[in-house]
Amino acid sequence: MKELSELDNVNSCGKKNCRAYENDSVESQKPSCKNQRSDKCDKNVNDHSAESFCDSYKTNCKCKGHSTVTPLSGVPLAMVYSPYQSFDELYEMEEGFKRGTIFKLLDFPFYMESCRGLRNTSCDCGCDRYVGGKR
Amino acid sequence: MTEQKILFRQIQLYKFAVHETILYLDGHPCDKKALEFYKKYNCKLSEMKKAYEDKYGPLTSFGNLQGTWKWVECPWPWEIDSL
Repeated sequence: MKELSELDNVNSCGKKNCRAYENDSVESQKPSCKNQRSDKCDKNVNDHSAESFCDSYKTNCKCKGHSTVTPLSGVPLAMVYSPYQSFDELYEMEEGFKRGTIFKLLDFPFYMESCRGLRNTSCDCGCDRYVGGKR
Repeated sequence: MTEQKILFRQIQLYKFAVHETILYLDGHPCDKKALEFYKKYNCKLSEMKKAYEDKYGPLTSFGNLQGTWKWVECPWPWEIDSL
């Protein structure tokens, strides 16, 4: 089982600290990587439910927008997992005091319509995911 | 801003940052970066508190007693802004 620290902020683009949203319902993002399946895999290539994926597919699939495999695939059920925080990206003293936290990555102001607390409008790991509104 | 208020404000900022680090360390007790930050800024905080209390009186009612009960002479919370 993966260490929790390996699970933090890993999205299907495979990059750590990617804060892009996972959009599970977009049809256009359904994987079509039947060629990447293990030769021994006898799963139905058109069945995109998680149960149909062989382990090789889960770990080696490089599709964008993988709709059913998440970073938490394979971990025990009914447990709560939290991404591991690191002591990075601190605000300056004055700014941290005003924001109510010294940790930039924990700065989530709430708005009435939806959570638009993420700071970036596009993912800064280089993938082309839209992340969210401005703070 | 008076010198007293500037120093008081600095203490507020540093104390907040140190307290945030304490909470972080409760969950990550071996994190070296956090431990170094805590050591450095807690030390600075102590120095600032001492400098403030030596000049302007106790910051808390657990402060140093120097002669009379100076605690009642210090700015009350609603008086801080007009320091």
